[in-house]
Amino acid sequence: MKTMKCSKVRKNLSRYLDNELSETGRLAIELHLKTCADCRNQFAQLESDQKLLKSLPVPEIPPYLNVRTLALIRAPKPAPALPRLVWQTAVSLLLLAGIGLGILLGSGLAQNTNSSPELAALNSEPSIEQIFTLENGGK
Amino acid sequence: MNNSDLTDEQLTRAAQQGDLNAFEQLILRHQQPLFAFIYRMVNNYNDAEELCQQTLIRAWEKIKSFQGKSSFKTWLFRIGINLTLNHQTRTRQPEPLNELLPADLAHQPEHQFQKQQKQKLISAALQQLPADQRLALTLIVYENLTYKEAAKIMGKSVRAVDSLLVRARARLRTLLEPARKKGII
Repeated sequence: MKTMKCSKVRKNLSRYLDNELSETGRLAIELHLKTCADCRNQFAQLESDQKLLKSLPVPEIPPYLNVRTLALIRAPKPAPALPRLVWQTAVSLLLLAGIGLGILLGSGLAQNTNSSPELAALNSEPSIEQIFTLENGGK
Repeated sequence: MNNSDLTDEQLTRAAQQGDLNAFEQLILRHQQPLFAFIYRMVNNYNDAEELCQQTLIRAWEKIKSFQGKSSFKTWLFRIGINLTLNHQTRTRQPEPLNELLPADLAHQPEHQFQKQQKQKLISAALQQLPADQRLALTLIVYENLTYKEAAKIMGKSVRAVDSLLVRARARLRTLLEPARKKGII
């Protein structure tokens, strides 16, 4: 009886290993493996790798994982943060307001400096006469 | 009736009504396979723990959107897979396999050490596989899923899963060849 071609068998060895072939497919592979040493060898390698993978121990679950997870679920959630756009706009507006206020104050101060002789005197260097007058008790 | 007597479907429905005790029962049932699966994907205990917790928390947050089209386990694993794959795109490259090979096996006297070495090599070889191949192999070999179930979890066709497994196994054989030649495995 003619069996499957080696190329077709090798394509299906992985599915055969995982028991994913139909009954007919499985029987056809088994028949081929009985007569073909190369394919038998290929299958033995697949089986050997599968055994290696299965030899890895099952990782132990961290202790109290469920308890700690439930504690996190039960923990009160922090207040939701403002969306980025909202706070970025707020910061920009505050900055603009600050700059505006600065300009207003600055221009007001400048006007005051020009109009008030007292301030002008404070801001300028005292003259020799003024120093002399101050030293003589304002006489 | 005790929560432990209820089916996953009944527990899921209760959890969707806000019953945290029902959800706790679901955690108890599925945390071990979930953790083992994530650990095999990332090969790092702390990362696996964190990802497992994140998965469970996300599942609780999204439980109302679970429509019951798949089993709770399938749905939970999908969340875990998404988080794990996202995590892996952000993190480091796996350790190169040749750095784990001892120079001369004759100088490794302890049987236990050799066993650990072997396990380390196999885990490292798994990490060298592309994420989708590793995922397919992990679901089939360790979770004992059928191709159809794996395909559903991965959002792929059965044919695609088959192809990933063929490539994963061929790559794994090549990766382990040096260790095989040295007689470590």
